[in-house]
Amino acid sequence: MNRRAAIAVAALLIAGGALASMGKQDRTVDLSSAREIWADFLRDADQIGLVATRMPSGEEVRLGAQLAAGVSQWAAQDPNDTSYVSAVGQSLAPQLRRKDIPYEFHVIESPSINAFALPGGQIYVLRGMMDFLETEAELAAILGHEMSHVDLRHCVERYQYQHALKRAGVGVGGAGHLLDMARMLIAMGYGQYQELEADAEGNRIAIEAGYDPDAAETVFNRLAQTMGEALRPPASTPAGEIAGSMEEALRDYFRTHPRTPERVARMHSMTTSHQELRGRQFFVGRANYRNRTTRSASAPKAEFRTY
Amino acid sequence: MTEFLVFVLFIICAMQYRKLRRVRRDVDELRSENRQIEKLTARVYALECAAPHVPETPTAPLVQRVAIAEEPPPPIVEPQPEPAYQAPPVLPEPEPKPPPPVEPPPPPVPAGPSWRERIASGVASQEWEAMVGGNWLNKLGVLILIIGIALLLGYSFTKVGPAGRVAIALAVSGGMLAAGVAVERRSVYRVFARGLIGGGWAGLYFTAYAMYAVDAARIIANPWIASILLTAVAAGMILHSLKYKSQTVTGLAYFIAFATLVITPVNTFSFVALVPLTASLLYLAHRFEWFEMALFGVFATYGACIARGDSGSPLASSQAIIAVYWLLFEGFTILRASRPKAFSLPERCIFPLNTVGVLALSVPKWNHVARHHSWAFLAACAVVFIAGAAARYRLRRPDEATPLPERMANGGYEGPITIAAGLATGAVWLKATTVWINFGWLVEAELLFLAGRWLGQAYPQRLSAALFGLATLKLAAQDAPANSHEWWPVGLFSTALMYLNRWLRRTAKYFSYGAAVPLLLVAGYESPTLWVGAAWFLIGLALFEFGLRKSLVEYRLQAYGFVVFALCALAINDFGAPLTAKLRWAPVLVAVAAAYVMALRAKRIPEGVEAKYAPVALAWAATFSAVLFVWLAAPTKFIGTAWIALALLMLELGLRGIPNCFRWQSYPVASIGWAYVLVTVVIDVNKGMGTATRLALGGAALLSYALCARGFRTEAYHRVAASLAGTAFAATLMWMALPDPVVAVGWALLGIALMQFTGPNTRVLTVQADLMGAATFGRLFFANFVNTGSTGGISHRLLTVAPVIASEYYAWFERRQSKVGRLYLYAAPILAVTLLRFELGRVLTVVGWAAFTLLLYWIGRKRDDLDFRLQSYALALICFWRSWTTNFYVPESFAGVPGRVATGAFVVSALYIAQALAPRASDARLKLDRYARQLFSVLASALVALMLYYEVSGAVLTVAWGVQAALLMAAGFWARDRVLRLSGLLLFLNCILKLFFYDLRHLDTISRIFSFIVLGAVMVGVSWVYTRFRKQIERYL
Repeated sequence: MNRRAAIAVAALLIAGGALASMGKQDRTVDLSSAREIWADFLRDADQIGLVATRMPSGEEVRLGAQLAAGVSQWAAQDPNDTSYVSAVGQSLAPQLRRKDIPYEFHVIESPSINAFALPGGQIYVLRGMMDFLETEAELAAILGHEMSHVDLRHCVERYQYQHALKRAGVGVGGAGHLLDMARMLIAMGYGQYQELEADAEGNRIAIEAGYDPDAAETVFNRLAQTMGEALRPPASTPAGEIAGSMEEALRDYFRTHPRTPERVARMHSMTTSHQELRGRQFFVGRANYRNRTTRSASAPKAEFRTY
Repeated sequence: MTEFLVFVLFIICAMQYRKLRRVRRDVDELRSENRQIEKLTARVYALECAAPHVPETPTAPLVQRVAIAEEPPPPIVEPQPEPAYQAPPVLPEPEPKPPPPVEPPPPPVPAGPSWRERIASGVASQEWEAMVGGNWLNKLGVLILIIGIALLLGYSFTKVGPAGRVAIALAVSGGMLAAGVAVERRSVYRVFARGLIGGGWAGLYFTAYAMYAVDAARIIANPWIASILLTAVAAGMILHSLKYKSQTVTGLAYFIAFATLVITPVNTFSFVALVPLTASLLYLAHRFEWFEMALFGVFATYGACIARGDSGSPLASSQAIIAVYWLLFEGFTILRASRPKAFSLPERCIFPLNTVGVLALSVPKWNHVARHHSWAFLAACAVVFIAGAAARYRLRRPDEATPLPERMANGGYEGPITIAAGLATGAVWLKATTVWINFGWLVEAELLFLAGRWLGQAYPQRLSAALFGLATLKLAAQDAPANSHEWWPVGLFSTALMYLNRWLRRTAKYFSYGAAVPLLLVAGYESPTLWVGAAWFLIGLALFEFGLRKSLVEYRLQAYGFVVFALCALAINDFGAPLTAKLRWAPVLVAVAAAYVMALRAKRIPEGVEAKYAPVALAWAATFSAVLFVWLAAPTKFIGTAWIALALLMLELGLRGIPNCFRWQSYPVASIGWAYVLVTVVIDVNKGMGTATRLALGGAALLSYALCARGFRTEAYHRVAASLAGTAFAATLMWMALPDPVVAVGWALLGIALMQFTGPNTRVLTVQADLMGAATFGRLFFANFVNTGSTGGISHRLLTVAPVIASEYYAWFERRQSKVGRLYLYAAPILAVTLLRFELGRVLTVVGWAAFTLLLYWIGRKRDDLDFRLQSYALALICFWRSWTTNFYVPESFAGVPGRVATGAFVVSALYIAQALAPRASDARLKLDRYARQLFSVLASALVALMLYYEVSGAVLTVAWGVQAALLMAAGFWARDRVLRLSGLLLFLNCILKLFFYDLRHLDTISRIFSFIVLGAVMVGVSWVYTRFRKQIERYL
């Protein structure tokens, strides 16, 4: 009996190993699985407090307006691009789940290639990012990403503890500050996975709005090349594998965003796993973007591609 | 003149010195005797004091005692407990203690006067006076008289002419001589007379000398006449001296005669005159056995020649004269040798001095006159000495019982034959060149050996051996290093001769040892560099086999020597053989074969020390050679693997006893193989290594396991080391060769395989299997759980982790009796939970976990296994937590159903099913296990309540909870499950609390009323049920 079981297990191992040796290979060797499990744990532990301090949508919108007022003081806005961005963004809003959040879009003059969201639907795109993007589909992907942060409550959760303490009459300094710092440390453990969620959710929103599914992958690829980010080359020795993995895990723990190549890989995996997208027409909008013309105003056939 | 006077004074002083030594010796003897006398006196005194009165017995006279002292002590005939003195038995033993203190003991009085007193008394006696007056005065008087004559001659330089002076000297000298002869007849004047005679002859001699050599007295102009005259005087002295039959006197006369020939002006005369002089001296020495004089003759003869120096005479005549000298003394010693009596010390010195003298005179002459023919002289000398040796052999048969030095000293043939051999050797050296010298020496040596064999004498054979040794030494030091390739025939010839001699003489083992040296040299110098070791091994094999078959240890010992040299040659020459050399391993292979054959054959060595160590040593030689062979023959990447294979082969041979010691010699060979692989491959392993490296590593792993398998009958540490090495290599190979996600699968497979071979003797394999299991577990977290690869739509994660989980369960099943088995049992579900997390995604994870919880509990119930049940309880708690903290907030929906509801419902269902599987009553020891049913039920019910909380709000929530409570109670009744009913009741209580503490404050009027009414109705309904079916309910409660 034991011998038969051993043979069966061995056959299973051999079959599994043989099949895994074929097909598309992924040579990544790191501790991301352990990090992700730890992030799960931290996130689940943090949920109790977040649920207890949940802010209603109205309060969130008010908070967002306050924060937006502060932002508008240190950077000027471009009204032309802002209206274009706003049009694109509003086309994505129906795909979101939280219908009670009014989204406002801003393009501010800053050379940095970045975009960010504030609670209550305040979405900011910097001039550097506007210049970096090439198509409307890419803009939709970026806007979708930021809007997902709001939709999934990532933005407001950062302010919930502070807000709750304020409401409870506890000062921001002292114990409140300590609590906030503790919360930040915990959030650091799973913040990157919120970014990945926003990537996935934002891509879903953009695709469901009819934009090119590959746009997000394209823009992140270009971003990785521009920033000089690359995946750690595979280690050639066992010791190198372990050392490299541990070093990377330690370094990545303090990153706010995952590595761009990893985001690209996940997005690629996500889009390719959805077979129902194949054969459909999606909007790219290169000329539209260049001319700052929305899809609703002009959508020539050349701006579409079959996935 | 002055020199002559000084010379005469010197002679007189020498004679007096000799007398003084004799007196001193007498004095020492007297002192010793006096000490003995003192001791004896003290003992006698002590005895007299201690013993009763005993009449004195006369003691032995001193004269007799002295006589006893002079004679050698007689051997003890019968043992006596007491010393020789005749002490009566009643006397106590003598004690060194002083006599009783009653009477102070007087100091012991010596029996006789001390040596000072004797000399003092002698001074006062007549003896001293007589000695000085009769003897010393006489000699001093003669000396003074001679000096006076000399002064007279000198004084009379201006008074008389040369003839007058000579006449005066002759008259005085002749007068003294005549007077001495005349008064000699009377014994009273004998001493006086001899002084006169000696002075007379001295005066005559000096006068004869002065007649030619001193200007003031020269009356002879012809040197020949002068020489003859001087010689005549000397001859007269000699003849006269014979009358006294005194070696000293005659010796003195001869001394003067030799001195005459030294100072004579004519060289030729001097050399020629030495012949009869020497001959007469030797005749007298032989006749009267005056051997000291004969020895003096050697000194005098050759000394005179040396003193005169080389006069430039032709070589032939010089050599002839010298030959005559030598012949005279040689003849003397040969004649002496014919007598059986042992040689005295002077006699023993004659032969060597004669030899030195002739060579000292001849060799410089030859070198000066005919250097290129010196060899002929040496050869001729050798022949002559051989003749002398033959004569001695004939006259004095050697007695083997007598030690060799003694025989040589007593005129045996050994001395001359040795000289002859040396001279012949020198002759060959001078005449021949290069290897012909060796050839000549070999012939000479062989002739010596054969002569010794023919005569039955060992000495010539030993001499021959020494000569063989010399030839061999030259071969080794000069000919072979010259690298001319011309010497090897002589070398082989030398070997053949020595082996022949060994065969001819069974006891001459040194010949066989000597024969091995040229053989070693020939093989070493004439073989190609890489083949030197092999050649020596083959020779060693031949010698060993011969020694084994003939039971001759010496040949086997030579074989061992060859083996040692061969190993050194292999290490020096072959180890660093250039890679470009063709078949550079071939000679080493030959060496291996030869060494192996020797190692096998060594089993036949007879019992003894050799039998104990030789087989092992030879086996080591074979092992070393084999290791070197692998080093040279195997490709670089495969060297380590090949060494391990060699170790396996050696182990097999050792287990079969061919030979036994290979068994444990395989361990170090395997160790270096492992070390090589470890250093060259494992430590620097990287995925870029080629196929060759992988093959080498795989081979090393398999062979190591084979070593472990065969090591069942060997030591444990060998098995441990072999299996560890095999596992390390196999694991490394898998890391290197397999894709990253498949490495863990390979390691798991290896662990399974190791477990299959575990047995009572191989617990180490179990440990290694566990280590592989741990490594596999860790590896999955590095390379498998987040792997995005896929094959046919199936993720590589699933394809690799699932089989590993199965292997972990299998490992638990195999090891369930041990503590480590439980680790496997907990590792498997951890991997399964992690797999579900990554495979299903963040949202659907809890669905998978819930299903797994159910499965674990079912298995736990089926097998009655507490571990499975505990795992299910833990997972149930995790599912509850996960659902609440994650799934209840996910935005996803499935087929229009919110993700919270879809996933939550599944979890709730799984928990309720688990509850249904749990027994109602349990006698489990663990509380958690005893209340499993309640746990599942509470978790499920709480989850439903939470779901309702997130789905509905306000008054509807209160109603929803109320409905849930009612349903729980109904289900509780139906299923006869108390916990459901209690859960319902608890929920009702919660509703009531919410109603009063929240709804009343926060809800609007309509909602408030709605919630109150509905909840109230539900509660009333439930209460009616309890009342209506009280009796039935009581049965359940």
